[in-house]
Amino acid sequence: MDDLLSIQGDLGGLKQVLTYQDGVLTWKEGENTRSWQEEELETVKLHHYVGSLTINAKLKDGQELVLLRGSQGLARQYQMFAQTINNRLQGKDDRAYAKEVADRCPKCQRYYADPARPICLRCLDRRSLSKRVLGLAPPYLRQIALMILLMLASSLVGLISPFLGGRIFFDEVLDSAGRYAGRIGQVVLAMFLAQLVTLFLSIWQGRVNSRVSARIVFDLKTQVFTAMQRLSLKFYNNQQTGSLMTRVNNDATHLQAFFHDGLPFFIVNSMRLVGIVAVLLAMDWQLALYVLIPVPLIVLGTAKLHPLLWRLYTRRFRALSRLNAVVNDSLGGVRVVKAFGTEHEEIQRFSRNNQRVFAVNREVGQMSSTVFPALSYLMSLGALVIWGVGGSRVLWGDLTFGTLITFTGYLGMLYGPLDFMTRIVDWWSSSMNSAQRIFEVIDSNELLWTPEPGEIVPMPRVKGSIAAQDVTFGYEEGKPVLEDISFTVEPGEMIGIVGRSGAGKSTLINLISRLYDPTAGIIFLDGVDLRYVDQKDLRRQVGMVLQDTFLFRGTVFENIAYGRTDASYEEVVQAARIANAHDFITKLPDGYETVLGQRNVDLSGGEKQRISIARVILHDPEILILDEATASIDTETEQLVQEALERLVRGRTTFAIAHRLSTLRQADRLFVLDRGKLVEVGSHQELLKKRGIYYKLFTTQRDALSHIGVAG
Amino acid sequence: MADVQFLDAKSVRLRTTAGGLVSLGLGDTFFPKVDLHLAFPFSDPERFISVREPEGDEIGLIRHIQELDPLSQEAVRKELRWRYYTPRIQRIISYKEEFGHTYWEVETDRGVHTFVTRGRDQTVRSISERRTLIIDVSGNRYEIADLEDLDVRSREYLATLL
Repeated sequence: MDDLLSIQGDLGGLKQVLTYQDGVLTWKEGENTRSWQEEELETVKLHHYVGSLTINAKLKDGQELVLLRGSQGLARQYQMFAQTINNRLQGKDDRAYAKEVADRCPKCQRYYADPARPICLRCLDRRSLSKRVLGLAPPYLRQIALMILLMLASSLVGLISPFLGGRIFFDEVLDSAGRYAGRIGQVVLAMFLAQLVTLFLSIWQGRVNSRVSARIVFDLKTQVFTAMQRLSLKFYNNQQTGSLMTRVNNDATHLQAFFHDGLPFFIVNSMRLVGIVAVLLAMDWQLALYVLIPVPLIVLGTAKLHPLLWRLYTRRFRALSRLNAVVNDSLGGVRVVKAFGTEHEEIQRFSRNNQRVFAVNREVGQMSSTVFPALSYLMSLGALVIWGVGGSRVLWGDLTFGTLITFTGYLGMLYGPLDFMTRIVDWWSSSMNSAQRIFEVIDSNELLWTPEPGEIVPMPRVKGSIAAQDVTFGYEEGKPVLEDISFTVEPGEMIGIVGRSGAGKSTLINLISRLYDPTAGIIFLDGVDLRYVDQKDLRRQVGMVLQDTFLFRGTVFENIAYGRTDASYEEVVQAARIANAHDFITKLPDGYETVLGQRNVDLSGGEKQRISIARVILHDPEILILDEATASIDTETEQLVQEALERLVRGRTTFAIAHRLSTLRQADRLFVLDRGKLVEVGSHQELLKKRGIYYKLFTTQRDALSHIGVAG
Repeated sequence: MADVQFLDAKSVRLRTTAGGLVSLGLGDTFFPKVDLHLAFPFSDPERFISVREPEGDEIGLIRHIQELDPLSQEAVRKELRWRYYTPRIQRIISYKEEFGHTYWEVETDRGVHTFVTRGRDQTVRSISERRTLIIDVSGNRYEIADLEDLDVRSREYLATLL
C-alpha cells in the first residue's frame, strides 16, 4: 500500500479534504465524498488566483473540476500533492516528490512564518545566536579584556568622586574634628586627580573600543559580501530575500552601534549600578532604601513610555522616507515632469507628504518635550525624599552632613544607568534581529546544486554541442515558465530564439548558461549533464552579450579585460578592433585609460555595447549568448555592432534572442517558443512555408515595420 | 485590434459549471472554462471585468456586472469572491511583533484568521484615506474597510506600518 497523501482546504470555513492512495483520489466535505480512479484522471493542477489557490482535476472525459481551495501559504504543499499524482499518472518515478513538506516548526508545531524560509523565529535558539554574535569577538579577546578592565577601573574611580566630595570633604575636612581637618588643598587635589584618571581611562577605553567594534563589523561585512557572491541568481530574484540584501548594510551598522555603544555601556552601567547600590547600602542602609523607592516608578514609567515614543519615531522615519521617495521620483523623472508640464502637481505631491512629516514631527516634539521633563521631575522627587528624610536625620544627629551630600551625589549617578537598562532589552533584541538577518545571508544555501567533488567533470575545452531533454523550469512553485523542452544543437550552429515577450526566451538562455538549474529534465554540454560540468570551465566557455550592458567603474582597458586580468595591451586592442570599438576608444581623451562611470564620460548605447563585445571576444568562449544585443542601439551604429557580432558569432555555438526578426537572418535554425513550449524549429524559409506561429510573427512585424517606413 | 473589446451583455451567458468553474456562452460560441480578471479590483470591482481564455487571449471586457442577466451575475460574483479572496477585517483581536515578524489574529467576515506579516515594507497598502490592505508573507490579502472602525491601539500600530 502507498502512503496516504492528504491536503486540506482552509478558506471560508470549508472543511474540505483531498486524499490520494493506491490510485484513488478522494474528495471529502463533511458527509459528502467523491472519488476518482487513476484511469479517469488526466491531470491534477495547482492554479494561483489573486487571493487564493485552487487544485483542479481534469478528467479523461474532458470535464474539469475545482477540488480544493486554499490560502496562498499552502502553495508548496499543494504543488507537491499535484506533482506526485501527475507523476504517478504518467508512470514517472515520484520519489523526488514524496518527501515530507516541512511547513511547521518541529519543536513548537507552529507554522513557519514564511514557508520558503523554514526558520521558527520563536524556537530559534537565541542563546546560540547571541553566542555566535559574541563569537565574532575571539580574535580580539585581548583587546576586549583590556576594554573591560579599563571600564572597570574608570567605574571604580568614578565611584570615588562623590565620596570624596561628600563624606570626606564635609565630615573629615570641614569638620574640625575630622581626620583631615582643614586640608582642603589635598582633598581638592585628590578630586582633581580622580577626575583626570577617569578622563584618561575613558579616552583610552573609547579608542580601544572603536578599533575593536569597527574591526568586527568590517569582518562581518566582508563575510556577507563573500557569501553574496557565492549565491545563485535565484537568491537575488527572490524578492523577499532581495529586500533582505538591502537591509544587510543597515543591519551591520546597527550591530556596530551595539558593539560600540550598547555592549560597553551595558557593562559599565551594570557595574555602576551594583557599585552604587553596594556603597549606599554600606554607608547607611536605611537611607539607601529611601533612595530606591522611586526606582520602580521610573523603570515602569520608561518601560511604558518607550513603546509610545518608538511608535512615533517609526512613523516619523516612514514619513521621511516617503518624502525622500517623492523627491527622488520627481528628480529622477525630471524630463517626464518637464515634458508633461506637471511641475505644479509634483509640488503638490511633495507638500502633501511634507505635511505628513510636519504633523509627525510636531507630535514627536510635543511628546518628547512633555515626557522627558516629567521623567526628570520624577527623578528629582527622589532627591527631595533624601533631602527631607536625610536632612531631619542630620538635625537629629544620627547622620553626618557629608553622608547626605554623598547620597545625593550618588543619586544623580543612579538614574542614568537605570534609564539605560530599561532600553537595553529592546536594543539587544533588535540587534539580535539584525544579526539574524546577516547570518541568514551568510548561511543561505540558495546555491546551485553541486555534485560531489569526485563527480565533477572538468572540461577545459569543449566542442560546443548543447542538448536539452524534457526540460521544465519555473521560478516559482507551480508556475512553470518552460515546459518539456527538448532539442539538440551542433557545435558552431547559430540558433535564433523567437517568440512573444513572456514566452520564456530569456529563461531558456538562463538555463543554458546555468544561472539556474531545470526543475526537471537535463541540459547537456557535449553530452555531459551541465550540472556536473566544472563551474569554472563552464563560465570560461560561455560568453554573453546582453541588452543592458553593464560596465564597471574603472578604465576602458579594465572593462575589456574583465575576467582576464592577464590580458596584454595587444590582446585588448585586437579584441577592440574586432568589436569595432578601437576607433572611438582611441578618440577618447584618455584612450584606453578613460575612466568609465564618471559624469563627463558619456558613452552611447552602441559604444558601450561594443566594449562589452570586445570583452566577450577577449574571453573567447565556445558558446555565445546574445540577448537582444542590438535592441537599444540606433540604426546608424547598429551596423557597426551587427558587423562586430557577425565576427564574434563565427565558429561559436550561438543562441541569439532578438525582437527584430530580421537580425536573425544569419541563424542556422530558429526555435519558436510559445507560452513556455518549443512549438516550431527550422530555418527561416522552412518556418515561413509552415505558415505557423513564426509566419504570423514575421508577417505582422514586417507589415508593421513597412508601415512606419522601416525596411524589414 | 487596438480598440477595447466590450462584450455585448445580452449575448453573454456566464455560468458556474458542475465542477465549480465558469463557462461562457457568447452567441453561438461556447467556452467551457474562462478566467475572470478585475481591471480595478480596489476602486471598482464591479466594472471592467476581463473575460479571458485560460492562459490565453482576452475574449472581451464586461463593462459592468449589472448589465448581465441574473444567473451570469451570480456566477461572476461567486467566482470573483474566490479569485480575489480577501477577508474583511472587523476587529484586530491581537497582534504581536517579534523579531521582525508580526503575528496577527483578526476577526473577519469570513471567520477568525491568524496570519504573519514580515517587516514593514510592503506589508500594508493604503488604498484610500481609510481603506487599507494587509498582505501577509504568502501574499494573502486582508482588507480593512475603514481604519476608523478599529480600536485606537490597533490603528496606531497600523500607522507605524503605513
